[in-house]
Amino acid sequence: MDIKTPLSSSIPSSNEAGSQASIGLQGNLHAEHHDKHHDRSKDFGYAESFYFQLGLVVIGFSLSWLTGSFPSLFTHWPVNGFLFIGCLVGFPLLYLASQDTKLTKWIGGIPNAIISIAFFAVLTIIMGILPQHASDGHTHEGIENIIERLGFYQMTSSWAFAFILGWFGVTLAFSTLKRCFPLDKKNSGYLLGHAGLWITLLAATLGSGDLQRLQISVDEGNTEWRATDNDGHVYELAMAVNLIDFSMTVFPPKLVIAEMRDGDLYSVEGQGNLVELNEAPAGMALKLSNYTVTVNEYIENAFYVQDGYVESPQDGAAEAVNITISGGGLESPITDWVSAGSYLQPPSFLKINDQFSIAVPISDPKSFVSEVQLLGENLEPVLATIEVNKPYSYAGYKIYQLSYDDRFGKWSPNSVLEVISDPWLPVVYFGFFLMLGSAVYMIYLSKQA
Amino acid sequence: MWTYFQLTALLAAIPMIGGTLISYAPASTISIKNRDRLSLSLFALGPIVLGIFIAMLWVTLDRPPMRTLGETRVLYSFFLPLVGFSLYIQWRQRWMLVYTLGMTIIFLSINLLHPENFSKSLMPALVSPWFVPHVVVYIFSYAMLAASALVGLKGLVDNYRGKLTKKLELNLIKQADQLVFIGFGFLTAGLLFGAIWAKEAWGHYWTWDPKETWAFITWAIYLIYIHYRVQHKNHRTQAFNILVVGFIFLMICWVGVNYLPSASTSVHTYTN
Repeated sequence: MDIKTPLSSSIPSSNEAGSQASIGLQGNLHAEHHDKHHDRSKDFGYAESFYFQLGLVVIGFSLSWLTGSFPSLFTHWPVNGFLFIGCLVGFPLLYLASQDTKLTKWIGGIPNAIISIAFFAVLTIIMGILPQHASDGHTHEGIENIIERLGFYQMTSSWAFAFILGWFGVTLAFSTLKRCFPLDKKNSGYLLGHAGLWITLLAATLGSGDLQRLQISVDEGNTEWRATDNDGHVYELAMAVNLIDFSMTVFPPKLVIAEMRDGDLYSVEGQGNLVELNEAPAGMALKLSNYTVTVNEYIENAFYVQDGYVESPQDGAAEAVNITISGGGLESPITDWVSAGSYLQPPSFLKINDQFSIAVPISDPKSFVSEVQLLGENLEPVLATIEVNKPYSYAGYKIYQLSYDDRFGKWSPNSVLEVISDPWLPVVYFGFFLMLGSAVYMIYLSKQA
Repeated sequence: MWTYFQLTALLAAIPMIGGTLISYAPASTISIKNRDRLSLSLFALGPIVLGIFIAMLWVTLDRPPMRTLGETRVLYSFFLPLVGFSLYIQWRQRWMLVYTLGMTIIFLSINLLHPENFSKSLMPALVSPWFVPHVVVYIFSYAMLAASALVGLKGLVDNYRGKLTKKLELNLIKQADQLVFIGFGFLTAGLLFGAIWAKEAWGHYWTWDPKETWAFITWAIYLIYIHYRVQHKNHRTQAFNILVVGFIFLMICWVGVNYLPSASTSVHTYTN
C-alpha cells in the first residue's frame, strides 16, 4: 500500500466562507457555535476533506472498473522497507517544513480526522455486508457484474480502499506529528494511541506482501519439505517435517432426537432434544425429550459384529452406546445400539417410530495434535508437538496445526500443517503495545472526565 | 445447569425491580439514606445471583461459559446492572437503574425465549489463555457502551420533550464521556487481545473476517465520537446521536453479523 498518497492538487480550491458548515456528519450545527475562537472561514475543514476523499473514492472505483485490483507493488521486501523508513523520516521532515501552512494544519486537524475515519468506516461497512472472496474469473451478470468490477467483493485490494487507507495514514501521521513538536508529557496518551495505530497500519499494510502462508501436507511416517500456497504454487522449504503421529481426541458422544426426512436423518432442534454423555456413561439415566434413556454399555472404540458392538483397537473403530429408552408414551422399553459410525462402518440408530430415531452425531473435536520431528538446514533436529493454538517456532517459521484428512476422522493418517513467516510481526506488535498503553491511559483518564 | 436459568433469571430480576421501585419511593415514607441503602442492596442482588450462576455454569460445563451467544448474554446481564449500580452511586440518578434494569431484563428474556442446550464442547481453537480475557473485556466494554447509548437516548428523549435543561445536558454528556472513555479503552484492549489470539490460533492477527470488519466499524464510530467531542464541546445533542448510532453498529457486530451475507466465511458465527 502506498501510504505516501501525494497531497494531490485535487483538493477543492473553492473555499467560500461557511461552505464547510453544511457538509458531512455535522449538518448545519456550525452555524450556531464556533467552539474554537478564531476565524474558521480561512481554514480548510470538513468540506475540503469530504470532497477530497469523495474524489479519491470516485477515482479509485473508476480505476478498479478499468484496471481491476490495486497492484501490490509496494508490499514486498525491499521496496516496503525503503517505504517504511521513508515514511518514518519523510513525514516528520515534510511536517516540519510545512507546519505553519493551512494545508498541514488541515490534514492534522480533527475535521479531517473525523471525515477520514468516516470514509474508512463506510468502505468497511460495504465490506462487512457483501461477502468477500477472491475473483473467481467468471463474468457475472447485471448488478453482480457491476459490484464485482467496482471491486466491492475484494474491497481490501480495490483502488478506493488503498487510497482511503493511504489518506487515513497521512492524516494519522500529521496528527501524530503535530503533538510531537514540542514534546510534552501531557500528550503521552494521545501520542501512544495515534503513533501506535499509525505504526500498526504502516507495518501491517507495507508488510502484507512479505507474509508467507504455506501448507504442508504430510502422512504419518513420512518426511515432507515441499509446501504449497493458496494458488497451488509449490515451494521447497529450508526445513523438513517428519510426521511421527497425528492424533485427534473428541468429546464424549451426544444423543439426539433425529427425524427421518426424504430418506435422511436430521437432528431435531430445540432444548431437551440433545443430551451429552460423560466419559464413562454406563449406568447414566438421562432425560431426552420425553423419554428416559438408560446407558447400558459404552465402548469408546468398537466394531459392529453380528448382533452388537465389540471392543476393537483397530483403525476405523467408532464409539458405540447401548441404550434403553422408556416413557414418552412408549408401550414398552426399547433397547438398541447407537453409534456415529466411521469411514469403515455405517452409523446405527435406535428407531422410536417411523418418523423419529435416537442417533449419535459425529463427536466434536477436542484436540488435534501432530507429533513431528523438524529438520532444518544447519539446525539441530527437534521433536515438537504442534497443536491448535500452540504453534511451534523453528527455522524462522511458525508452524501451525491446520487440518487433517477428515474422511478418516480421528483415524486420519495425515496432518496438514501451516508454515507461516511474518517478518513484520514485531513492528505490528510494537504498534499494538503502544495502543494498549493508550487504552489503559483512556480508562485512567475517564476518572477526570 | 441451564435448567436452573429460569429460576436464576427470576431471582435476579425480582430484587433488581424491587430495588429500582424503592429508589423512587417518596421521601415522606422513608429517609433518603435508608432508601438508598435498601434500594442499592436489593439491586446488587441481581448481579450477585447472576455471578453465582455464571460460576456454577463454568464448573458444570468444565469450560468458560463464554462460547455461545446465550452465554455471552448472561455475562452481559451480569455487567449491565453493575455499571448501572456504579453510576447510581456516583451520580445519584435513578433513571440509570431503570434503564440498565430494562436492558438486563431484555437480555435475560431473550435467553428465556431461546433456551440453549447443555454442551461441554469447546472447539480446539477456543482453548487458549486469550479466550477469557478477550470475551470478558469485550462484554464489559459492550455494557459500558450500552450505558453510554442509554445516556444518549435519555438526552435525546428529554431534548425532544423540551425537558433538557443545560444542567442536565452537561451532566449527561459528562457521564457519556466517562462511559465512552472506559468502554473504548476496553474495546481497544479486547480488539488487540483478539488479534494476538488470532495470530496464535489462525496464523494471522487480522484477516477482515466479517466479525473483525464489524468490530473495526464499531471501534471507528466511537473514535468519531471522541474526536467530535474534542472539536465541538457544545454540540451535545449531535454527540448523543452518535452514541445511539454507535450502539446500533455494536449490536450488528455482536449478533447481527450472523445474519449478513458476508458471514458465510466467519470463524465467529457461534455455530457448530
